[in-house]
Amino acid sequence: MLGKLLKYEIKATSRVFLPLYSVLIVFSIINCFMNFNPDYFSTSQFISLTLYILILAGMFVASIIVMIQRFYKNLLSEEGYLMFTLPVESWKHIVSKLITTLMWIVLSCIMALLSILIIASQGINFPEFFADIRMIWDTAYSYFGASLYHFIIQMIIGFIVAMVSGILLIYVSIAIGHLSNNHKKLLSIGAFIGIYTVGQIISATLFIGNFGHRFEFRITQQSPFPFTLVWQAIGVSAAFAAIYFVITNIILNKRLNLE
Amino acid sequence: MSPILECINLKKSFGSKHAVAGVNLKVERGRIVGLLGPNGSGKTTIIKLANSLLTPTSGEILIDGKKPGVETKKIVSYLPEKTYLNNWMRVQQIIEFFSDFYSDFNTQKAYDMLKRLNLDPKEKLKNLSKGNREKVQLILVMSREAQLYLLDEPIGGVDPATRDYILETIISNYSENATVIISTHLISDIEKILDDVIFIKDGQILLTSKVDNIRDEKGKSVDALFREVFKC
Amino acid sequence: MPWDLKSDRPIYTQLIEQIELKILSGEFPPGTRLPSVRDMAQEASVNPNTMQRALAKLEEDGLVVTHRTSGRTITEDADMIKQVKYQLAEKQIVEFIEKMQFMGFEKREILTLITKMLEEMK
Repeated sequence: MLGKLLKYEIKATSRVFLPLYSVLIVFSIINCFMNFNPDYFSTSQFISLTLYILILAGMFVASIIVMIQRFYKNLLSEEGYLMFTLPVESWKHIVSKLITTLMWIVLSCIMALLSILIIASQGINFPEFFADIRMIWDTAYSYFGASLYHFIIQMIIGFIVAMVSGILLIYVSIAIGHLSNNHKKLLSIGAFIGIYTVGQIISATLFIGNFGHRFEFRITQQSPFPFTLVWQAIGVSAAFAAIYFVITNIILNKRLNLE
Repeated sequence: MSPILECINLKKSFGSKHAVAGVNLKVERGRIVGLLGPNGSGKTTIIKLANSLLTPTSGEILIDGKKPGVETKKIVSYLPEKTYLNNWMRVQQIIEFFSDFYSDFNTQKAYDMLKRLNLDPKEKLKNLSKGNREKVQLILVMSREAQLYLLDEPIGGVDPATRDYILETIISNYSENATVIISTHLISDIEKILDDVIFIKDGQILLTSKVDNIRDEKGKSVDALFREVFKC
Repeated sequence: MPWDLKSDRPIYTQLIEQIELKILSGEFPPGTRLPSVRDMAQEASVNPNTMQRALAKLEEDGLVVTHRTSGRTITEDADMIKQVKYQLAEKQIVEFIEKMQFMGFEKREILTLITKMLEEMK
C-alpha cells in the first residue's frame, strides 16, 4: 500500500516539477551559449541570467509550496474524504508524502548542480576541472585521513535528517492547525514558530549545557573533526523528527475532523 | 453473524453542539436502509463516524463487530455528499486508483456503467459538469463489491432519469451479505426500495421500523409519516 | 404491463396482487418460468427482499411453485388458478357493492345498473 501511495504522490507532484526542471535545463543551455564576460553584461545577457536565477530559486520555492499544499489539500480538505477512506494506515500517508518531498528536494539540488555545470561548461577545460576536483579531494584526505568517508557519510545523513525534520515540522504544524475550528492557518503558523523556537532552545541548551563541556572549541590543523558532536546533533534532530511524526500521526488518527 | 453496523450509546459533540447525542442502533446485513431526518440531524456525522473520518466523543461504533480502521475500510464503500475527487486525474485514472487500493473493485462494471451513462473515460475530472462528476463518484462507489454501502444524499443533485438509474443500480447491486444505508430527505423517491427506515432528529433516533410495518400498521407511506413526525 | 405501486400500502401485498393479475390475464400463463427474484425486483424497481416476500406468500398459496433445480414457475393447476380468479372477483364485487350501498343504492337498483352497463359495453 505504501508503494501505491508513493506512486500516486509522485504522479501528482511530477506535474509541477518535471516541467520546471525542463525549463531550467533549457534556460541553462541558453545561458551556456551566452559567452559571459564577467566584466561586461549586455542587456539580453542580464535578462537571461536573471531569468535563470529566478527559475532556479523558483524550483526550491516550488518544493516548499508543493510540500505544504500536498499535505494540506490532499489530506485535510475535501480530498481527505478520498484519502482517509482508503484502507491504509494514516502513518503511510505521512511517510509517502515525506519520501516524495525528500525525493524532489534531492532531485532539485541535483538539477541545480547540473544546470550550473551546463552553464559553466562553456568556459571549462574539463581535464583541468577534474584535476582541480582531485586536488580538493587530496587536501581533504590529508586533513581527515581515512575518516574522510566517515565525514562524507555524516554530511549526507545529516542533510537527510535535517530535511526530514524540517518537513515533519511543517506537517505537524499543519496538523496542529487542523485541530482548530476557525483559525486553522493562524494556528498552523503559530505552531510552526512555537515548535521551531522551542526546538532551537532545547538544542542550544543541550549543547552548551551538556556536550559543550566535553569539547574544546579550538580547531587547529591538528585537532580532530568533532564527529561525535555532529552525530549527537544529528541524533537530537532525528529525535525531534520522530516526535513530530508521532504527534502528526496521533492527530490524523484520533483527532481528524474533515468538514 | 454480527450486525454490519452497530452504534452503542454513540456520542459526538463539536464544542457545545451535540451532533450525535447517544445513539443506539443495529443494522443487519442484506438490508436496504433509509437514514432519514432533516438537515443537521446527525445523519452525515454518523456516516463519517462509521468511516473513521471523525472519532466519537464517547460510546462506540462498530462495523462488522470491529472498530473503524483499516480492516473496516476494506469492506465499506462511502459516497460523500460533496465532491471529493482530485481534479488533475482523468476518469480512467481515478478508476485505476480505486482498483489499485480496493481489492473488491470491479473495473469492468465501472466501465460498463460509464458507457451506460455516456461518460468519456478520457475526460478530465475538473472538466466534468457537476452532475457528471456526481455520476462518476456514484459509479466508483457502486463498482465495489463491499459489505456496507454508505450513500449520503445520492440522488439530491441529479435529474430524475439518473435518479431512476441510481435506484436501479442499488437494487441490482443487492446481495444478501451487503447492506446499503441511504441518507436522504428525498423520501418518496426511494421508499419503494427500502427495507427499513431510521428516523433521526437532533442527534437522536426517533424511530426504527421495517417499512412494510409502517404501511401495514399506520396505513401511510413513509413519506407521509415523515412529514407528520417532523412537522415544522 | 408496468408495475403500479403506491407507497401507502405494503409493497409486498401490492406485488402479490399484481402478480395474481398477471397470472389471470394471461401475461404469466400456467407453467411459465419466472425470472429470478433479483431480475423481477429490478423490473418492478423494488427491493429484492420485498419481491422475495411476495413470491414466498404466492408459493404458500399455491400459485407459484419452486423447483429445486429450475427456479420458480407459475402453477399448472388450472383449478387453483380458477379458485384464485373467483376469489379476486368476489373481493372486487364485494368492494363494489359496499361502495354503491354507501352511495345510497338499493340491491335491486345495483343489479339493474349492472345489467344495463353490461349491455352497453358489448
